[in-house]
Amino acid sequence: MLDAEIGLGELKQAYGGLELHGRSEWDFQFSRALNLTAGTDFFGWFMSGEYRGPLPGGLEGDPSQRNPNAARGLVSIDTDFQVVRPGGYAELGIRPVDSLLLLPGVRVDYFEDLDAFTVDPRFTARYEILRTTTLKGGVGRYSQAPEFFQAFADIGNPELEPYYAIQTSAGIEQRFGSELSIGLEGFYKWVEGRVVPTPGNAPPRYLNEGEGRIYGAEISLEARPDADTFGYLAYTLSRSERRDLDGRWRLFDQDQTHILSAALSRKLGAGWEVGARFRLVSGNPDTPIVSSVYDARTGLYLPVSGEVNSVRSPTFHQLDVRVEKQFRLGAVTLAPYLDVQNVYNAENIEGRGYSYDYRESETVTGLPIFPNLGLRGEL
Amino acid sequence: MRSAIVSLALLLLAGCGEPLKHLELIEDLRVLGARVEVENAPQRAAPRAGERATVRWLVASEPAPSFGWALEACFSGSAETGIPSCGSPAFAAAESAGLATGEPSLSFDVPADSAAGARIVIQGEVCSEGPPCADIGTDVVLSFALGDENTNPELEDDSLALDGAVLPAADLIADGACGRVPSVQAGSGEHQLSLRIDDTDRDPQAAATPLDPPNESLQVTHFSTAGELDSAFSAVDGAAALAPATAQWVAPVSAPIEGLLVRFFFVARDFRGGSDWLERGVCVVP
Repeated sequence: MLDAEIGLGELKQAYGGLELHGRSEWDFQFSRALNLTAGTDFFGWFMSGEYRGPLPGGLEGDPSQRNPNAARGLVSIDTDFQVVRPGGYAELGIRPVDSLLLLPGVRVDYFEDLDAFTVDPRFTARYEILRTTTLKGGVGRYSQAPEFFQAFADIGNPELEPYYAIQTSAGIEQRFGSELSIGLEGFYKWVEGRVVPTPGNAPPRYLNEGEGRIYGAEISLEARPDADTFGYLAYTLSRSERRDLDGRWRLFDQDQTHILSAALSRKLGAGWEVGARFRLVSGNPDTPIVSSVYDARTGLYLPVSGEVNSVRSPTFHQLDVRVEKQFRLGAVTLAPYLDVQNVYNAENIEGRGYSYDYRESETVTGLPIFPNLGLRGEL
Repeated sequence: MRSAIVSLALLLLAGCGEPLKHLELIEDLRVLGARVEVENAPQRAAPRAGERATVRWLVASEPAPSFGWALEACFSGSAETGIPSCGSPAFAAAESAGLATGEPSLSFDVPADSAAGARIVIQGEVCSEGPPCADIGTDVVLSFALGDENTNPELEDDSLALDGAVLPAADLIADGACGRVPSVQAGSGEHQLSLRIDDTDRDPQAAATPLDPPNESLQVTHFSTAGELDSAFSAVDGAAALAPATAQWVAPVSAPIEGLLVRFFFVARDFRGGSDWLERGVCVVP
């Protein structure tokens, strides 16, 4: 059962009702070379809700979301609604030879609230060229429904349909003994029919007319030089862009050009273990505020945005370390630990705060150095 | 296997910092509100096609009382959110002759062939130089629906009180203003400002759903030229019983021997273009 209510003055959001999840899966092993995995799942919301608040806008890359609520117009909805989404899937596992695994599959979904079916075929393959070298690849279609409220008649477009992505990837895994393995993978994803807001959020407010593309490559390295040491290094170079009704490509809000992750842990003996993790990630794209307008209807200043996601926050980087000591106390294993996040106190910029008229601004930084002393116990 | 984790974060997080600028404090040239009045029916906040209307703007400045301005009226584009903007060329415009004092205003005739429900946008700029304004001017905008059954709140002369005593209207621009307004001791701490809202200030509105309040809600913004107001906003909830809009004001801790004139601006608005305001003052004495 779900039941929630929040309110502030005449603004209100309340909903209640039943949420149902279900899933079942069967495996059939016909032979050593052929097996079938099939299943069904179900998601359902049977709700009633009330909402009085600002008209929802676009969820991604919509600078008007920064406008004060009072400037976005209030809407009231008092409705019963249900979201019923049964689905089924099947995947064959075919091994024509020991070194080759083929995985053709299909998923079918029904979106009752949108009165729409989707059929998503998928195919994955792995081929061991050598005992130490594996090629892998896949292509598939993946469908997704709009956010449920985007299809509400009063604030959205009931004609919306599910949108989909075609995902492809290809890569190679190379092992060097038991100590080292390296993986390299490229990926490309095309998104069709993304839900995009209309200009100024004018009716029908949302349309299935957006596109997206995400592409890149990842290289990863795992090392186990001895039984007590583990190391991991991964680097991803990628770009994610979308095109809305204006026909221009722009970055997604979460586009990250470079993602570098490194981790190292070592057992020192006598229950001691130390570890460290380092992350370096491109800063998130941001939309600059170039000026503002005083809105006399609301008494508030409205920001005037520059080109969407045309600037980027500085690169994020952080080192975390952890020291743990395990010991037994009867039947209990205790492990006091010291976990220090952001060891060198990097001032990572996570956003920008503005004065009421948007004429002045200052950066907002993430957590400073954060030591955490804890005790983990296992029975 | 059962496990449990107890942790102690060894860091006390700092609270929120001070805002970069205080909205409620008038330190320089500021636009604080606008009011639409239909000719011969100033209580109506939305003209109809063919009628003449005037939009007056409340501008406050500390200390310089003069400024330049330029305004124009047009029909809105199709956007329902975001910044209102013209969807067609302006049908009326006005600007100050150099630097001016008082209220900028734009009077215009609504075209007789205007579509029912069309939105009118008043846009322009106010600045301490001009017109035309340099980069440091304030761009302003107001939008409202043509023919909307909306009336302006009407704040009475005795609506604003300080610690229960009505603050009288007075000329706050002329020399010697401090002698014409009530006095407050410097360093006297917190005082309550209270704006009386009358039932007629809130238009009744049709409720399409049970969530819609029976009356429009009003927002009251309050500003002072010195001292510290606890906030810039009060709300008069359209679904709640009528109550005064209040703000706490802390008097300056010191004042010159001749007294320090502090001006208060209270603006009530209904988010649909209806608005009214009061300007009152006190003299802070040592």
